[in-house]
Amino acid sequence: MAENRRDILSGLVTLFQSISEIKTVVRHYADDFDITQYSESDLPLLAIREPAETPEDELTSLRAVMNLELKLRLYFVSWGYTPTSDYETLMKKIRDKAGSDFTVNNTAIAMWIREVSPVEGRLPLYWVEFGLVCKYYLDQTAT
Amino acid sequence: MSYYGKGTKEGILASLETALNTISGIKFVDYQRIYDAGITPDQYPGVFINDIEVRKEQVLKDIVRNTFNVGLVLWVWAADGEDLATKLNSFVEDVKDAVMADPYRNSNAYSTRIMTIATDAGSRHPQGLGLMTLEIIYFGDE
Repeated sequence: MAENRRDILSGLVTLFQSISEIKTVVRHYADDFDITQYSESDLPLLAIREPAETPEDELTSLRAVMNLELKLRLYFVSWGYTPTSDYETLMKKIRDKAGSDFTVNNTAIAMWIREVSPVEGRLPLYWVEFGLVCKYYLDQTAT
Repeated sequence: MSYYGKGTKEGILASLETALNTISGIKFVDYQRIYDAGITPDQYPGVFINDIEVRKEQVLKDIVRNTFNVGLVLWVWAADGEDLATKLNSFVEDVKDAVMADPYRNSNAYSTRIMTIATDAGSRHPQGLGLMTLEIIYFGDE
């Protein structure tokens, strides 16, 4: 079981990279991401913004249950009349993956997808933003 | 037929030329400035396709959304006793129909819109002049 955010976040990248439909997964800070630097062949692309952390429970021996509150943005290209089909297929894959590996390869206690925004953008580039919570143990005595 | 994909400016201009050449009785269509002698009286009615500008918006590294403004200069010739305004307006209608028959510009464009039509600039019997501007959106590699 992981005891720091670094392992959780790298585990999340690995997890989402294992979805064959997702071509690229990147971590980024708030304002340093520019989708125009990527090619069509790099998409669908999942951008994981560095998360906020909130303690949920303090345990004995300086251990805590922490929540990583993530915002992910999924970019995809759709040349169709509407992006609905592409969006639904991709989000289902992401939900399925999050549900089937909610421990993030045994690094987290739980993980679930929260709110999902409407599909934004216009032909051919669209995106959707969704929240994701990862719950994990933090050992504050670990070095 | 609808089309969503990448196109080219040359393909769009060629498509416009093809569309305008379908107008019954049209004598002159050009976008490549190949008529160095200009328009002679036997070449009315005619249309000159004027490539005005392309505004570019980077969507991805290899996808650019292009807003292509095209001006169509329309000429008609009215014989003695013919109403020049009627002749010009009738030709404008023909050009509108021809242009909008395929807004996808032979699978090169996402859309075509007629933005302005001016028919009162430069007309004097027997020559009528009309100006039509189009906004054509297409996607390209650059």
